[in-house]
Amino acid sequence: MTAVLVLAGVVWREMLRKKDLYVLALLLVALTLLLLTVDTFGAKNVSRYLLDLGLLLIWLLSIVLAVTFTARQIPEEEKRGTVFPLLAKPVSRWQLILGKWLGCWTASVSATILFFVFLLAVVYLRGGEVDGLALIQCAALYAVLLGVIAAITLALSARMTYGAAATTSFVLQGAVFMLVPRIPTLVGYEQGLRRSALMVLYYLLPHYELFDMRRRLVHEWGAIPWSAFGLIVVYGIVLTAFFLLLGWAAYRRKLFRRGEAL
Amino acid sequence: MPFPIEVESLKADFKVGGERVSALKGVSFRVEEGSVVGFLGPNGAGKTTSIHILLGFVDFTGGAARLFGEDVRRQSARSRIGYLPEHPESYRFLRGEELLRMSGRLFGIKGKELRNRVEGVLERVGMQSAARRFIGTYSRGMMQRIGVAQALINDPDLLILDEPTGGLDPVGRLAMRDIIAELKQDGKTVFFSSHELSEVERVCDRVILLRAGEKVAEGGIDELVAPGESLEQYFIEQVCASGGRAVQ
Amino acid sequence: MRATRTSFSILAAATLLAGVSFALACRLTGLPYFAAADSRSAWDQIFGSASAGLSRDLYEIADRYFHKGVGHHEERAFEDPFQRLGEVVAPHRHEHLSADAGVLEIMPWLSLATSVDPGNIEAYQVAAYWLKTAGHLDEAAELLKKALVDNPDDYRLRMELALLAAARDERDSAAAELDRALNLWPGKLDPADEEARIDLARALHYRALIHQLDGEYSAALPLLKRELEVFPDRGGIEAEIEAIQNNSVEREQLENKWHLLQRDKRELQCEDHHHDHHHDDHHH
Repeated sequence: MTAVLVLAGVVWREMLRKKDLYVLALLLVALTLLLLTVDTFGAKNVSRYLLDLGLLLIWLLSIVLAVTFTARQIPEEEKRGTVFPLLAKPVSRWQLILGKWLGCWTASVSATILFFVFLLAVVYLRGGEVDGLALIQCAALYAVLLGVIAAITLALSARMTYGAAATTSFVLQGAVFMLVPRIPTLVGYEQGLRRSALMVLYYLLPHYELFDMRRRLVHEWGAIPWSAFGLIVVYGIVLTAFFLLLGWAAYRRKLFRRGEAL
Repeated sequence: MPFPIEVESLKADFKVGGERVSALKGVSFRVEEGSVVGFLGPNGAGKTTSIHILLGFVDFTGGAARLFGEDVRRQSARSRIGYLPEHPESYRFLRGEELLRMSGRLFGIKGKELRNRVEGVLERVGMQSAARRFIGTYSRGMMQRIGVAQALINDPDLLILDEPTGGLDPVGRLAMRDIIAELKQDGKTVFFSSHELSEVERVCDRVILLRAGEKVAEGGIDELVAPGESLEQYFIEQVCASGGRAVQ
Repeated sequence: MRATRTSFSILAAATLLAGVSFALACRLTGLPYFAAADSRSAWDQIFGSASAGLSRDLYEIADRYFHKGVGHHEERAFEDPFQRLGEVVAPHRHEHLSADAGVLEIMPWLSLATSVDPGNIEAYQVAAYWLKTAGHLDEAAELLKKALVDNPDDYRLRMELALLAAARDERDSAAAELDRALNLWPGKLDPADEEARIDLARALHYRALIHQLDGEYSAALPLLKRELEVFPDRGGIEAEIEAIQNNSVEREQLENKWHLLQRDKRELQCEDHHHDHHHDDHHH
């Protein structure tokens, strides 16, 4: 366990010392401040659109951070050659996978929390209010989702270069977000092989829509029942574990190539 | 007393571009405790494959490999070793001392003991003044020295070095020779691969020579190399000849 | 030197190719190489009908906000535990916002819709209606004035101004705006369009009402008769015409109608047909 935490700590230091996080944070601040200039036809204390678009921005930027940051971990270790002295110590590949995931996940979640705090401050200054319990649930579910996304990206990067892993992950996340919730409707218009293919995709791909409480939070629908919350968290943990196992299975017998040559 | 390194009929076959390649064809050797052994061979002889097998990076397809009597595939086998790769690289966003603290913690060293160890290895490799700088600002030689430091952080009984003097200037090479000599004095075992045969001649007790996945020679330098002949001449003879001197 | 020559060659080839493509495109579309100056704004010239589309999308978002984030219902081919759990997370049965329960939250989207397409009259109308209903009469007036700058000939904006004046109990202003609206009708709309005919009938009726409140029954009569021509089946109008002709108009009824006009409780058509008994009322 120590090895896992040590490796996670290295990931943290990397995130804090590289520019990615600060660029995304600046982008969030700039875009949010831009949103404040939208004309509301003189209506005061209008903030729902701020919360809505702000949460969307946070989602997008956090996913960008999680994917780009996670996708580079294992390929960079091999490209730099730092994987050799690392695995020459009593550190297993499983601990490496878990440590990298833990670092990337906690780093992405921490960045997201900071983004949330900034957005909420802007919303409150604008006279808006947010249901505390719903907010906690929304943030918690989103944190679990980031864990899933980090695990998928890490699994891909176990066998791909950084660029390929990041691109594949982005395409996959986009497909899951946009396609999966619409499959129950699309299936009604299809028949035969296409219908079967859609059904396979529906049950094979993760269901990210379960982790998305933004609409509920923005439009003041309140918290969800704790039983549903618990079920979704368990689902997220199972997904994460599955993809981490997949990543380990892909990584455990991998021959390392130092840069371009063996 | 188990040998620091013990390899028996080691075989390693890989698929490279669809073709089956035998990188090691039944190699056997032992490294005795407290010795400094040079691991030699031309490019593609199987030196790196052997070292990677000893370190658990790569699985082998036949035979056995042990570190201090433990199968190399076990994580615990690596608890008494230190490793310096060829052209060592490190996390450029870490400071030198952070790298060493991280390395120490991976061996389970913590607290005051870790602090003392870090100070000790920094002094040993002459990197105290650069410890707080980011590794990304280090020169080639400094990178090598911090690499040696992280290999020594757990006070290993066996040090495995892959081309330790590669890319170093004469001063750097001298510093590395001194470190190896000190380690030998401390009773440590050093096993290193190198193309710098003059360095090998200076520091090694024994050498092991590989060619095309097979061992062609093993023994003390005095035993293998004829009087008046250099190790380099011997090496070229062994590598280029169809036969070779009898294995010692 | 060789690299520079290569770069220039590539640049020259690319420029030539671009020129040939442009000329070919112009030839195929029948356009002259240099079109006459266009009086539309740069935004319009670049984005053209895309602006109208984007404005509609922004208006849709405002509509979704009005329904507390719930979009139009989509038919599904099957139900499963994922969907049931998803319905717990994302609300699927809509409610309506109201003047005292956050309806002004739709304003930014309506504002964006009108910024992108100043010809989106419906967005102006909805914004003005809710600002007025929420008690922001000055802001509603400001908005409508701004809308008139880009749409001086649209009768619908004049009608909204009339309703705003009514809300302020400014009968003369309301009358003037209704007259302007009637002069401008149907504007860009097709006179056979159902919405345009309903608007005409409303304008005629409201103007007739104000005439009657001012004692100008003879001026009210032709307006009511014209309204009857638009909607011959409206028995109520016939009764009103008869009352005027018989000098039996009840003042109290007129006052009540004026108060109703001031409150402007328009019936909102909810476009989502998937209603159930759980959602709030539509009528405000």
